[in-house]
Amino acid sequence: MSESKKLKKKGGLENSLVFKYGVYFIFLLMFIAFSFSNKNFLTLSNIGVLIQQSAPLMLGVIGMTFVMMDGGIDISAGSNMYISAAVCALLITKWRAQGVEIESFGIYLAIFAIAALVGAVIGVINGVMIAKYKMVPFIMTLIMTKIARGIGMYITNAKLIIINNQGFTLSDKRLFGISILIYIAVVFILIFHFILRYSRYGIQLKAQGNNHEAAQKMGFNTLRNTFVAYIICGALCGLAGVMAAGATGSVASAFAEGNEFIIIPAAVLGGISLFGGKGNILPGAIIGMLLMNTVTNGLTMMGATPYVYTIVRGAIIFLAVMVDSMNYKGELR
Amino acid sequence: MTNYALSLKDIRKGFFGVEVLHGINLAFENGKVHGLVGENGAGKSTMMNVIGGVFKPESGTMEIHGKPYEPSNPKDATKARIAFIHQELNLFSNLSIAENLYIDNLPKMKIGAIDYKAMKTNAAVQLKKFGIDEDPATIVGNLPMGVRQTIEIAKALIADAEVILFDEPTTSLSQKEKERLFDNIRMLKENNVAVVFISHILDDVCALCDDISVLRDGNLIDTRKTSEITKDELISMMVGRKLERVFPTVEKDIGDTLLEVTDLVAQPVVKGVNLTVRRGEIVGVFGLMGAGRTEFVRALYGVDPITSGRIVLDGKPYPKPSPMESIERGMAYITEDRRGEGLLMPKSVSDNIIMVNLNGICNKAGAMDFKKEDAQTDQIISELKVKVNDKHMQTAANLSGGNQQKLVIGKWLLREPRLLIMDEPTRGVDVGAKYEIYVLIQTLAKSGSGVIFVSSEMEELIGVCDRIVVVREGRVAGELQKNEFDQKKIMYYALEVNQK
Repeated sequence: MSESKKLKKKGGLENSLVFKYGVYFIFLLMFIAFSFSNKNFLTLSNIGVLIQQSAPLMLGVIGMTFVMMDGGIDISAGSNMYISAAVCALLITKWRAQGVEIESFGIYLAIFAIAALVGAVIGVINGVMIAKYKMVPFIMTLIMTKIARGIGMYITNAKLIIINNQGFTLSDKRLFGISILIYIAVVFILIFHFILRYSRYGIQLKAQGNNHEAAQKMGFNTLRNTFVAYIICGALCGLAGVMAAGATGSVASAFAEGNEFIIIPAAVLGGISLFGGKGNILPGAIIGMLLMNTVTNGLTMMGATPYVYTIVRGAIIFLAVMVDSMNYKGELR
Repeated sequence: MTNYALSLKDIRKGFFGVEVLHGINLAFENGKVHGLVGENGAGKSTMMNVIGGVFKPESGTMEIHGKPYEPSNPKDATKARIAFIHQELNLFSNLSIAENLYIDNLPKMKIGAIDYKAMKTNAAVQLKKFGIDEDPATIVGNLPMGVRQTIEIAKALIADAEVILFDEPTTSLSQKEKERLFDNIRMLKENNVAVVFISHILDDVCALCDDISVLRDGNLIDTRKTSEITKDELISMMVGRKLERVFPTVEKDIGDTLLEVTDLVAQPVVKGVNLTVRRGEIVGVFGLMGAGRTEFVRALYGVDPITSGRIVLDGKPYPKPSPMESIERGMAYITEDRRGEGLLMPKSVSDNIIMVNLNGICNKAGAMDFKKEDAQTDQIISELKVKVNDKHMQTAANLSGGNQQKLVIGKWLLREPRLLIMDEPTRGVDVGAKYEIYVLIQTLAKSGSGVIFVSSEMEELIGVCDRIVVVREGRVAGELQKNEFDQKKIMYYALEVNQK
């Protein structure tokens, strides 16, 4: 028997099955429970809806995975979604007033590009402040939460902008009966899973998230890697914003508010450690996001009051973070 | 002239005006294992850091096969094919063996993606070469230390290292792991690598090395062939300095027993220490790196938990030490890490002095009495001759090393401790301040307190202490009374070499 196997055998909690595959257990149990309590839960259409609803935030959780892999965090995800969606909504209104036909592939592509750009700008600011000026990620992105939402409200006068009646909508676009939102999400999941797993950047990010000092000694450009992670997160959150706007058809001043508290817990549930260096996009973060939405979806179908959602979600987050922290063996920072 | 893999010529390096390497000349040959021995503070790690590009030497040159080598950062050393295996390994515990081995040089497929298949196949070949029976996909964090170390060696070889420096590589290894390490080092030798082996375990050094160099106080004493030197000669070279420094002497009486420690165990380092300290006595504790001196005093004071053992302080058993209770019972602890644990660097001198005696200057309601604070801090500053302009404005960070250490001692003096534990109190302190610290220690002992004085500087222990206890591998290896003090004897105990 090899030495590592011996070590595993006497290993503690962290090596037990429940800890390793805990999320999948919970996911399965919840799925079964919801299926039995409501006959409409386990139907093809409801599962389709569930995945479709998760699609925009899937992009968010991918971005968050990069930042968290480095040991950072981005609280500004929700506000970033809002400001990107708000800029796009204003542009749509302006172009429409100029007589541009919004409903065309080119314009849609332009809108997506602009959303990614706005998000990336937020990411650049976060990244510079955190990587270069050594601001604590939590505080920097918390500040950004306020600033980004403030700017969004300023440019829109905090008014509701309806865009689906102006020709921008994603909820009715289907290909072979499957929502376009799902296709978009799948493409991004595959691309960024590839980057994280099969690129030099991805493996360096994972390594430095484990031990920044050793990474520096090995000559990695750790600051640049951190910076890039925040840009990726920002751009993906921007895209998530325009996808969510296209799905709901409008952008209100409370649009995507608090979404960071769906995205971050989804990542943690999916095994991305808050301490950095651990986890993957496929299946980890994606399962985490599906789980978060299953809870909401299932509880809605059971007719539970919305207040219960928060309690249940809170309890799940608590468990996930607790397991993550108990497993962490390094030094506290 | 021989073509050396790496040679150092007259390397000098100092810190804050104090020179610690006084012109080192060394040369390492391909296919040879070169041992490097010396006490703590002999300059081994400074030299390593100079070679590794961490520190820039003040003068002198380094050459690789006759070509100048001037590293300005660790990456330059890697490029020059020099690798280090430190005690603390630089592996990523969250990545697999294969990923760790190839992270500097990832195999790519045509489309630019990392070729995990090739990586695993290559890694498997390397692991087989080193006799490791592990799957290359195993996460490094799940492996025992010995295997991790082998992986670092394998990594150095993959990076085509020509010179590999080992810094105390055997301390965290079991006997079996150690044998495997030695086999690996012999294999490196066959592969024409120049190996530098730094260790204080003389048996290992003698068994493994072709040549041995001895460093002492930043000087290269000698380089000899292993076959031409005995352990006894080595020890003489390590400690053979003249005792010429002057130490203060104070007439004092040694009273009855103050502290009695029986079989103190604090896992994993302290394995059973017996120690008595009497009133007015200064007990020196000597030991080499990793012997468990600091761990012992930390456990005694209650910073780290004790596993078993009995402590009797002042006639009363003290079963579960904690820093708070230790202070209440009249203990004081001056830590080895002055900057990290001993002082609040950004706080003022005055704040630092009163830190452990806040109760003493508060009135009944718990509010601070600033007049008392002023009086007490002034008293300490003048007693210890701390050089301060404005004790309220000047921060501890702005003081020199010696003055900082005086502050640390001063704050404890306010509490009039009955047992003072000092861990390396004179490290990084200039000669004048050292003398003043010795005077302080002796004055305190004269007033009836017991002192435990931990130090790597044998000379000062011999000069100041009434008794010296030598610690090795978490146990007391020997004890010497004042009339038996002898550098060589102390070193024998510290190295566990049987005395003839």
